[in-house]
Amino acid sequence: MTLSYETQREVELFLLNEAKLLDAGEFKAWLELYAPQGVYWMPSQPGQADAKNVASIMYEDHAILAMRVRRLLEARALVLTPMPRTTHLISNIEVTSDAPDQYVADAAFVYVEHQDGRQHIYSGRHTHHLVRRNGSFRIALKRVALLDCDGKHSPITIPI
Amino acid sequence: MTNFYKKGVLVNEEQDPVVRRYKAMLVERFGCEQAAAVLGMNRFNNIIYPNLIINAQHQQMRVTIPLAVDLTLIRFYCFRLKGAPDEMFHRAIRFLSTSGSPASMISSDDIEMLERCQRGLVKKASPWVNFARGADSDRRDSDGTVGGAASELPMRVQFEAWVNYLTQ
Repeated sequence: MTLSYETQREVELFLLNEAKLLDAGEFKAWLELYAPQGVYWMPSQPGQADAKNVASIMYEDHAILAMRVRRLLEARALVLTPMPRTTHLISNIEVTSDAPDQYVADAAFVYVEHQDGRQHIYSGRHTHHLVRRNGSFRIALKRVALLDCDGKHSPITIPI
Repeated sequence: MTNFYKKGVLVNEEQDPVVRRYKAMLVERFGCEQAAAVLGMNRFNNIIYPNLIINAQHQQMRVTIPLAVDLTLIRFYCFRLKGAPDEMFHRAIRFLSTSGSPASMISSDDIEMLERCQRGLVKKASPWVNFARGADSDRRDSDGTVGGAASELPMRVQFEAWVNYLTQ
């Protein structure tokens, strides 16, 4: 389905807003972007299609994401002390739609995290499955494919 | 993760149809007595000296691999219980993602602590690391030495073992 420029722009702005909320530490508002059945998925293998039989770096439903948000806002966890400062950069956004009010946005990302004098850079592509709700969208699935998903990692704390 | 550890048993375990099915399969295969013995082992993490931790209850395994004096790799695995319902393996996978991944809300603080301890050791401010916590409340029984929840007994016995290997 060919999308109008307006619809594409709407999806782009939604993604940019998500990035802005994460960078601003507005995690509660970030969680509200997710549908009640929404899932955040960061696979551990390139091209991973199965989250049931293969371990993931993150496979979190709304309840677990809510726990993560509480933890992010508590400012007590050692790994979040001091709180990391972040930049979520999104580019090369492509939006498609196979069904009314359902959109898939594929994009490249660069994510920079700074904490206590040290900086980590993550990159890759992420895919948002969006459904239209009340004039905006809700995330049904966000799949974050890190370039080095199968590599060794230091703790990852802020959602990418 | 809702069925988390509580006093050595899984909360809701009795009501859980998957666990009930697993228990029934064990009983059918090994008989009541042996099944009870297998399920009765009431431990969470089993530390196999020097660097392996096995959690049979959630089918998890963790290996600590020192790569250099200031670099440690920690690998998490989960395993399938042969013949057990597939759902149990799916749960083990979920548990691994939740408890052992780099993004885990459970282990990432532990790993951060390990890293910060290492950074502290580099400073050489103190020549000693104090592992005395709980030493006054350790008690010996026929199985060995037992310590309280926050006791540093596991560290003490591992270093004792290490000293023994070095000096034997």
